[in-house]
Amino acid sequence: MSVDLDLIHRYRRSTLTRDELVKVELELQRSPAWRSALNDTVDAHRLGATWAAVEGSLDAPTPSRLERAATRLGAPQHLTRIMGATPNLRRAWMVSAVVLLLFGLAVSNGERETATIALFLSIAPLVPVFGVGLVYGPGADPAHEMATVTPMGGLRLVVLRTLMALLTSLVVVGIAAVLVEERSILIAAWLLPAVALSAATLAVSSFVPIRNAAAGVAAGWLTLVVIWARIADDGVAAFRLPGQLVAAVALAVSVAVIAARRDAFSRAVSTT
Amino acid sequence: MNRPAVVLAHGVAKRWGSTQALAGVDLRLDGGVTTLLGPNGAGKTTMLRCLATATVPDAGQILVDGLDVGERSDRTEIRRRLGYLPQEPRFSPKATVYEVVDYLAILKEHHDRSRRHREVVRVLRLVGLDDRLDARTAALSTGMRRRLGVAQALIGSPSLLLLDEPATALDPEERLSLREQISGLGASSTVVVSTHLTDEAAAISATVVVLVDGAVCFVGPPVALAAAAAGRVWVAPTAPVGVVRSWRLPDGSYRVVGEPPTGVPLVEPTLEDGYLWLLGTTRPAGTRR
Repeated sequence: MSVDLDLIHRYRRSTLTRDELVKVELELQRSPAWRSALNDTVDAHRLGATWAAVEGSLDAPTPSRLERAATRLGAPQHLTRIMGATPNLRRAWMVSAVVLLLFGLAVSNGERETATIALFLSIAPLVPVFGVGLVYGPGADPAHEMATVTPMGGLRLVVLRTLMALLTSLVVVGIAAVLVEERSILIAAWLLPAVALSAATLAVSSFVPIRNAAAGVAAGWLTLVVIWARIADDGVAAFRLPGQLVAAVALAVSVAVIAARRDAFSRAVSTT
Repeated sequence: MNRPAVVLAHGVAKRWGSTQALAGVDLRLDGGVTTLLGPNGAGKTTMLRCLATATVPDAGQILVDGLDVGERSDRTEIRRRLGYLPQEPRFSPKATVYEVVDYLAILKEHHDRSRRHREVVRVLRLVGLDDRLDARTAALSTGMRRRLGVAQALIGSPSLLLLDEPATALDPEERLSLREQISGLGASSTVVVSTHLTDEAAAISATVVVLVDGAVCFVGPPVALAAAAAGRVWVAPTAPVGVVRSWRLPDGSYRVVGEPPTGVPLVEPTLEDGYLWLLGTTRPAGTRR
């Protein structure tokens, strides 16, 4: 049967009747002339682009649940991929989630409410600190040296990963906070210290390795909280208004230090 | 096609603790393949790391296409133009070959997924790993991991390609294939390769830079380096004393580099002879460790 161009065009537009469709499919299977005619009607550029996209989807890594969730929330695909390509980020999330949820459950029926809240408020801001400590540097990313000398390397990548760790930790701690049986505004008093301590960790890491920075900041924070509580004879003294002001000042200072020391993040730590 | 980057280094110095890794290095690179040759600890890796913006020199200046490595505002633009293979590239062991290159392609600002996929497959095909996209890096041989490192350096066809000992751990066939690739890249990029293997330098480079104790003691084509030992290489029946270097050959005789005795029949020097002569005789001033 000679090639029927009208059928070919309607085949492309998907407007054939069922019988016509069967007929065209049969001709395409057995006749090179029909296949050639169909090829001639196809935009080669568009076909190439479509095929490349199909290949790309097949070869690309399967996104993790967190990546998919972040993409659904509107995060650009390339940023979610960076998130997925940082194994320690997932580990940090898992550890912080498990620790805090267990902690939340353990203290949710505590009888000494002030002590419970004080303990929760003291520990909660440290979760993002350890998250930050886990997601950057040669210990966290084996490809650190290669990653640092890319255009997105240096402070840009550090801030990106820090934000990922921070945001996730805040969600996890937020869930844990709900489990604590205290409904005063004080239960949210860990938020500003958490952000300030994360920024302080980054600032200190421009001088020392990031894990040392995280450990130092955590130790300093706990010392401050205990001393403040003893002096004021109030377990949550560090989380009331003066404490929040101190956290705000610490945040501002840390951001200033990070900006001033941004070149320090641009150097790769040699692994050799 | 890319235009090769023009690299100018002037008075580059770097100290690691008590070790003077670089002592006032001056270089001009303008396309083609340049080999940094030198013994272990000569400063090759430090020089490459400085060129790659991974390390900041203590003194001196490095310009890439007129952009200053030391200037924060220029550094990102320089990084858009370079590909870098570190001496020991490391990858997450659980990541697949595709994931590694895909991740680094994102960091090199290849954000469009389809284009990035084409680029990832292209560079992996160049190094012969396109049939192992799903292999975990932990399952790769040392040579394959090295090739993976080369692949990520080739993302975006950089105009400045810095390869730190790329031939290490490669088998002869892989080494030959890499030589061909590097030689081909020299047409569109400025390629700097560090090695301590003289046969590699002779095979791929238009220019050889010999670093000794952090200072440049030779710059020129491989034939010129070989010519440095002209009239100073001979074969002796027994091991001589008081020469620069001698080594036993399979037939029991000795190849000797040094000042020859009168009347001895001289042989044609190789690049290795020239390099050994240079190492044995050159002691740049002010570079003692």
